[in-house]
Amino acid sequence: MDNIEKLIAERKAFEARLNSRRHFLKECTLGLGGIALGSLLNSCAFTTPKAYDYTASRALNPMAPLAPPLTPKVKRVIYLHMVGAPSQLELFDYKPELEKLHNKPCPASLIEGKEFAFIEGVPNMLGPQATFKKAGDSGNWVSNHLPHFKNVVDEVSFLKAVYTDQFNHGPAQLLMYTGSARFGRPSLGSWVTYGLGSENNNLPGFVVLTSGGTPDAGKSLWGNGFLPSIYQGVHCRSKGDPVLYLKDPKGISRGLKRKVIQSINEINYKEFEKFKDPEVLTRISQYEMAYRMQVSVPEVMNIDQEPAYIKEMYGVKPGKESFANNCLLARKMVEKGVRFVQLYDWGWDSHGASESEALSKGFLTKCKDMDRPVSALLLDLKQRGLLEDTLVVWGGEFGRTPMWENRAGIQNSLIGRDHQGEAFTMWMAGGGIKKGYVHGETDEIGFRGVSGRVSVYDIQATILHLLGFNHEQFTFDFQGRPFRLTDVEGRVIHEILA
Amino acid sequence: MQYFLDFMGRLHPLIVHLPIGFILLALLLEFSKNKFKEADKVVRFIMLWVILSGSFSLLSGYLQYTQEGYLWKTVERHFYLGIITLLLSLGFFIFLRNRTFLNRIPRIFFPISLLVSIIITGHLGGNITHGEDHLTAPLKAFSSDFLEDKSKAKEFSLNERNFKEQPLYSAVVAPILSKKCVSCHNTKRTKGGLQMHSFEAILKGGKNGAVVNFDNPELSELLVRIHLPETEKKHMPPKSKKQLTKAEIRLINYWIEVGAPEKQTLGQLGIKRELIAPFLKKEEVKFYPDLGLDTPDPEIIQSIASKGLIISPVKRGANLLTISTLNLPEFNTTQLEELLVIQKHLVSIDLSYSAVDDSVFEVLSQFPNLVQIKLNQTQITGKDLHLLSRLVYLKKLYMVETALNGETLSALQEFPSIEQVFVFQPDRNIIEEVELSPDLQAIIEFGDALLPLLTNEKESD
Repeated sequence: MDNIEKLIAERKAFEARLNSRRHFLKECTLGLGGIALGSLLNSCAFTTPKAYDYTASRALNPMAPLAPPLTPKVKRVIYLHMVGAPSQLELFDYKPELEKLHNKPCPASLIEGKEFAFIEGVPNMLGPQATFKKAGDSGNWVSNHLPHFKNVVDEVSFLKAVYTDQFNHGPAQLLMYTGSARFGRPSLGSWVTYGLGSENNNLPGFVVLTSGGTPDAGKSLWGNGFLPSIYQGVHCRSKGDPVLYLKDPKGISRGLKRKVIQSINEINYKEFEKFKDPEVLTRISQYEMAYRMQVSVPEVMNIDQEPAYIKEMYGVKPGKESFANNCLLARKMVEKGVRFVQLYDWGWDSHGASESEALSKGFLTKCKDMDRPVSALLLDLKQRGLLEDTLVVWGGEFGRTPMWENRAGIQNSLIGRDHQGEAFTMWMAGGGIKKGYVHGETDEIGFRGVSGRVSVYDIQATILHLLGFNHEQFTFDFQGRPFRLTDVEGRVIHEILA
Repeated sequence: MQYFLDFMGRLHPLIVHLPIGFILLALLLEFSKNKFKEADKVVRFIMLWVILSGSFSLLSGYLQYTQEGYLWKTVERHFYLGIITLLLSLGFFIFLRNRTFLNRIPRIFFPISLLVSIIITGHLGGNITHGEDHLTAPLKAFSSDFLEDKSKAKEFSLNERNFKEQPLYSAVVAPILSKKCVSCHNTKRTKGGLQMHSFEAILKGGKNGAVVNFDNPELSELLVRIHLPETEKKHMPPKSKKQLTKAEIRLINYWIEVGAPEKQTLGQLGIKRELIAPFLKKEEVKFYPDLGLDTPDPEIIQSIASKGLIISPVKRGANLLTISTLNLPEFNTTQLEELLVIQKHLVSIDLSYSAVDDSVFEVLSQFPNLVQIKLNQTQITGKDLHLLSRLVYLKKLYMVETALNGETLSALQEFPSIEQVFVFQPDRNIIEEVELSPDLQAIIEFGDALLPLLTNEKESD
């Protein structure tokens, strides 16, 4: 019965939302209710003057910036996702013991009752396909595949025992970004722009840049889920037009475009006055935004103006779609106040089933293409002071096994590892994060976390915490209950907080 | 027998409440005896039970004193007053029988003196179990708050900066012992004949001998006891008491291993970080100062927001404000002057990409509470930068991609709270323009980061 009542209440609230914009604001926008109550109570007292309602600006602009409920450590996030799951055992998680077991059959006790994406029967162990050295003042391990990263290792906090319960790319990516392995939930960037809005009027608040291909879970990774659609990520391309269909067609001047958009918006506004559907407002502001973006996006997406040595530092490839270009773009965007920049770099699925997937071949190219731009990004953010209030997150959707993959029971001809959710490495850097720190540890072969294990939800909770949210209180009512990004889980990883 | 006596002794804190309750009941009845018929008889009946339960309390109290290792000095007054209370009760009981030798005394003497003695006895008893200042501590706290006694602020706490100079024993070990051990091992209560309230007392040991073994530290009785499994009878602290944490055990272990020194400091001993880290008080450094300002005028904020400035509190509901001109590339110094209406509330301002010039410093210096200033991508050269030394809270200053003249940076020397300054210029390196003290160089980020090409990168390109 309770559930039915809740659903009825939600339905009523939804109808009321359609009826009144003010109601929409109070109910739908984060925390507005509480603030409204606060100001209501204020008005009862004689002594305290009525506080300004900072959320009023959301009436006309759903992307208007809002202060977070807690003092934030960072204002912006750059999330670097290595699609396909990079091997932690070849990058950061140094396991000398594994070398001794190289090419020996995996002990049955390790794999008993375990499910793998491809491994069948008894695989052989696979020693680290890299040499490791302690780097920086912190002396944290970095493999020889990341020579440039050694310069910035003192900036980051490693999480060496992250775990997930998904072992296929799509669901694992969804879990990482929406808190659910199934479709339908809002993505991390959407939650953040919903909660904080966007500072730059001319740029989207949540930008997605991809290289190498689209991630397996597709556009749901930056979808708005049940949040208003204005909060979905804007996918920009680094090759050709940054945003598809944004350029004026031949023969249409910008002035004419302005008039067209004005007329459409007037019609839309009449529609809004009639039905009071907030999605119409979203549409109006999206048209406005698109018009402004016609100028501002090509400008911010243009890396040609950057000094040559900066371009060299990132290793950009002008005119091409590359991860390096995207890293430089990410810096340019956060510099201009974009709230959430999400980078997806495809091609890290090193099974050893083909050359591009082999740890001895394709993986090395990926490392090379990632090492320089990521290190350059951290250095560049640092020298501009942006690292003070920007959070940089690096990771994949899961990790890789210490076993040599044996697809269908036969050892792959090329060197590769299967999917592993039990333990993998991620790192964070930037405002509020300890410098040169390691949290968590895996067992001697990197198969399982033995201390400091953190879940995907913990990562999400930590990111929200740094932005000034309590992940347990940051909710949106949908289908009769409040939803949160971390669902019923999540613990802020205080160990890596400065 | 021993166990039975122990058990009876421990019943004392429970039993004593019977005579207390009975006496209070008898007194209530005594003071309103006119309302009841035959009140005297009932009072006498109650007093009989007072005597019975009181005698039992006295007995159990004595047993507790002998069994639990209390010092006579501690219980002395409580004991005598208990006897006096019992005698008074007996006296009142006899008085109520009438026509006895006691009836020459005025009746009012008994209830009044009983009331006084039960209060004092009870209070002294409470002091023994709960500690001397159990009752008065909250009052003291109240009065010190009331009188704004600042002595509490001086309370010592171990932190990142001061820990190396502090003696291991007095700064870390002693506080642990006093929290977890001293309540049973002190001058008033000396279980097992051991006192742990001072360094000398610990060295003296208990009735079973020394607790610290200097020849063979690992065999020290103290260590053996704290490492025994909790189920063991000899495990310390006893199962029912608050246990030592793992970090505390590790630290006491360390202290004894290095020879249980009294005066040596943590720095001299070269203690490992992970051992001491759990005991360091994390100093929460607030980025923005506590200014205790009033809520800013909503109409003023409304008017600022309507100009296109991003104005926002540092967090929801806060009175400290931040402003950004990100969406106003034409914003200039004259417009900045208009913001002086929120002079005190403004703690962070971002003027990046705006049209301000060097006159900005004069105006900025009039916002006394600024903590952070961003002037990236503007035309400033740094002339008049020195005016910002008036800002006592200014911690972070950003002047990236500007026309900054490196020589003006020496003015930073006079800035009272400055922590970081960002002056990266993509087109030139201003570190070459200027000579600065090492202190200043440490807080200024000149940038100019490079990642040199590696040999394998040259080949492939």
